[in-house]
Amino acid sequence: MPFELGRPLGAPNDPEFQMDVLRMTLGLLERESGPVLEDYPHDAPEGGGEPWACPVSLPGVEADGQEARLLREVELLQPWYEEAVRSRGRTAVGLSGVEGVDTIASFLAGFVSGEPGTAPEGASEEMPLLLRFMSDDIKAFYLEAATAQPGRSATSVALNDWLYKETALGAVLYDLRDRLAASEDPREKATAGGLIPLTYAQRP
Amino acid sequence: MGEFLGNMPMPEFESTPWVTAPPLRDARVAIVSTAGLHRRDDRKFRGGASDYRLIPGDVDYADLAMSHVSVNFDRSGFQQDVNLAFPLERLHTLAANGEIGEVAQWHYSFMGATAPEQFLESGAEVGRLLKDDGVSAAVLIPI
Repeated sequence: MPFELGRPLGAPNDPEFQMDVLRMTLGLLERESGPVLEDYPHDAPEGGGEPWACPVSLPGVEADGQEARLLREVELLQPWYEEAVRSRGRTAVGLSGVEGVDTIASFLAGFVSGEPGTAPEGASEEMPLLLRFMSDDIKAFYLEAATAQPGRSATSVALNDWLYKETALGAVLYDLRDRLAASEDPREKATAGGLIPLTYAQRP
Repeated sequence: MGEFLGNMPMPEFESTPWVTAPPLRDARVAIVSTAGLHRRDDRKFRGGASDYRLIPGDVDYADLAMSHVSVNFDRSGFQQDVNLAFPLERLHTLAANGEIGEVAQWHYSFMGATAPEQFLESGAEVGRLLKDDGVSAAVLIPI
């Protein structure tokens, strides 16, 4: 399949294209001899509508400190996240067990500034593994909010460029990775590798 | 990526037995995913996991979580549309159209970031479970 990693059926919210991928895949089972190895002949559709843009204007770097900027981003994205949950009937947020993305944001910002990493109430995991699930949760919150606006189609590159290069969350994730990578605790070192994609490993 | 995968060392098999599948219109079809999917109250996947999670055929998509350890694939598509990685609704549509026989009662997810040889035991077990469920075709969906 000529699709990017993470999109094995090609494109989200395109039932006809997904059905075609499935039909061709299942159709291979009806061959009378093998092995069978074929390429799917179509690229994933790029989607229509307006080019993607974040639905809200996020505060610039001049805002009052990293934690304040991060919390302001969460506040601004919250209505769009709620719209995403309403329209899709689900969310990927929730792996960490920590209630409230603002709680996760404060914890991560505090941790990278040197505060002790005592797990918040409700956490489903011990530290440092909890950091991975908290970062998964807050990234999902951002991406779900960012893709909630109807009529706009977002590529993963556009979304990741925005998340890692333009947001306060991206800066916090780089700081978190660097703090964990510098740790002498092998569990923290291992957690550092599960925060930022390799293609974005270089801090912008 | 295609070039990278094409140059990966592959296992050698002594034979390549061919099994003729039943006609699709009679097939009972299951999904086997490597996306690190599970129900929300099930165990999350950890680094190096070679076990699997059971996903019922009537699972509510709101109850489906992804705890894959890798950050090197896109998750935004799955977040927008579960069918992109776990096309259970699409299988049900194919069954309703009569294009496949029926959808299996159980589906399975592994987490694909683990070395392939670590899955020999759990993979064989899932094979037995698929057989017990009367499955005649499995759609293997990597992430």
